[in-house]
Amino acid sequence: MSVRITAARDKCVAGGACTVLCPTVFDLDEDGLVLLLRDEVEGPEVEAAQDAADACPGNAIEVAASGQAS
Amino acid sequence: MSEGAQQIPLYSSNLFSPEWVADPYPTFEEIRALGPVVYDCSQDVYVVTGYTDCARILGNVREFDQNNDLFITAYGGVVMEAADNPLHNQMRAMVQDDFRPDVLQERREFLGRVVASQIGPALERLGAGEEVEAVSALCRNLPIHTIAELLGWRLEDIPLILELSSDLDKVFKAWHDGSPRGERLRIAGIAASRRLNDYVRGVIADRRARPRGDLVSRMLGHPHAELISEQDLVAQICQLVFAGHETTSKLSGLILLALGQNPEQLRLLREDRTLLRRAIEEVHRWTPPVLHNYRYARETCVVADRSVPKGASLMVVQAAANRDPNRWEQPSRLDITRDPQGHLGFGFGMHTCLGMHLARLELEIWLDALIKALGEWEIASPVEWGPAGIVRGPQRFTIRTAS
Repeated sequence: MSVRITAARDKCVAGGACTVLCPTVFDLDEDGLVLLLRDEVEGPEVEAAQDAADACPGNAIEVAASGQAS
Repeated sequence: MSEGAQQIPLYSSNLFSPEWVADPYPTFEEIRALGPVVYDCSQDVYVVTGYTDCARILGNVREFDQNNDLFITAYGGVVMEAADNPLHNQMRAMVQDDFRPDVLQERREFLGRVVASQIGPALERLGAGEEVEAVSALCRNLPIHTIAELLGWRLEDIPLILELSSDLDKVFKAWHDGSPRGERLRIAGIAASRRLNDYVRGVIADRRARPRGDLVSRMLGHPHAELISEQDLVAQICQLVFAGHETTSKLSGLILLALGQNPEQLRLLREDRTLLRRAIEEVHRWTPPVLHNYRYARETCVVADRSVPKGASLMVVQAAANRDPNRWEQPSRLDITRDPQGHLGFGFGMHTCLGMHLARLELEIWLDALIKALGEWEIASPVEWGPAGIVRGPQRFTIRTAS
């Protein structure tokens, strides 16, 4: 199953946990705000992306099953 | 426990002794040498010291619960620091915008004025060659003025708030200390917490009747205010005061000490002020005011390949993680030129410090003013640390301008 990832930069608080927990998907810009490297992942990365979403202090990251109408 | 699981070594600490609070790092290294997870019989907790393990536990709210009882005892209700979702996100959203780095830049000028008025007189005395008690003259007043202004509180109430906030800290100092000392501290801490609750109730009643442009009014007007009980709202505001003041003022004392005791680092910073932000982060890595946090295992879980039983308390030692040799080279060395990004001083994951960008900005403006006025300084007395606990910082020490 693949999932679609969104990161709301206006809710990002520059905590940086996402890049530690899921470095293949999340990066930080020079202000420490989140940058998405990819917006869709599958396989073992799904859990890492979900961990990053759970650990976000600003509730800025969403992980949703892809291919579904939103 | 599964057959392959590794044994967890036992240890009996004395984490509340005066020797420990003066320098807890040898104890942390002793525990680290025993293994990544060590059972401390005297506290009935599992002590975790590795960087990756500490970050994983703090970041994994599905497996590891915050210590709700501690925070309810300290603040009188559920606060976001201890809440699970959805409550955590609802509470955090009520205050989050005031603590965003871009929004905080607008407070630069205000913070500059607070720094000038609060430490100006002490800087003059130091400039004239006097010795000055650093904690009361340079560290205690800036963070409390900042948070009081943000919340819209009267400046004349600040001495009372300072007193109550200091006493409330005794709840944290007493946690996991079952001795008579712990009991004494706990009673004093809870009494202070109740008085601070009463003060906050008065502020809330006033802002309900006459809303203003302050954070308390914004919290009351936020759509989520209806989802939060009155008592939890009171507790949450108390937590903003305590966390905004106690940790930042202790970190400022630790910065003064660290740089005063490492004159070559202070000189480096004085000669290259672009290192200011990095120097503050590095001191925070090297000697964080929040030494550790507690977490509970929601189910039997695995930490560093060791099985930890359901319901166990874990002592996640951020101060030890910040000196993990697997994460940093020469971790016991203060080096303001290193990149300390990722240190756990502000925590990690969902409960990362709400006010971290405010603390950084306050300290940057404060330290810049100190260096401009004094150049370099030195420590002129022994350091008093006060009682040990979760939050550590010097209680009294004297400084003078370096000759």
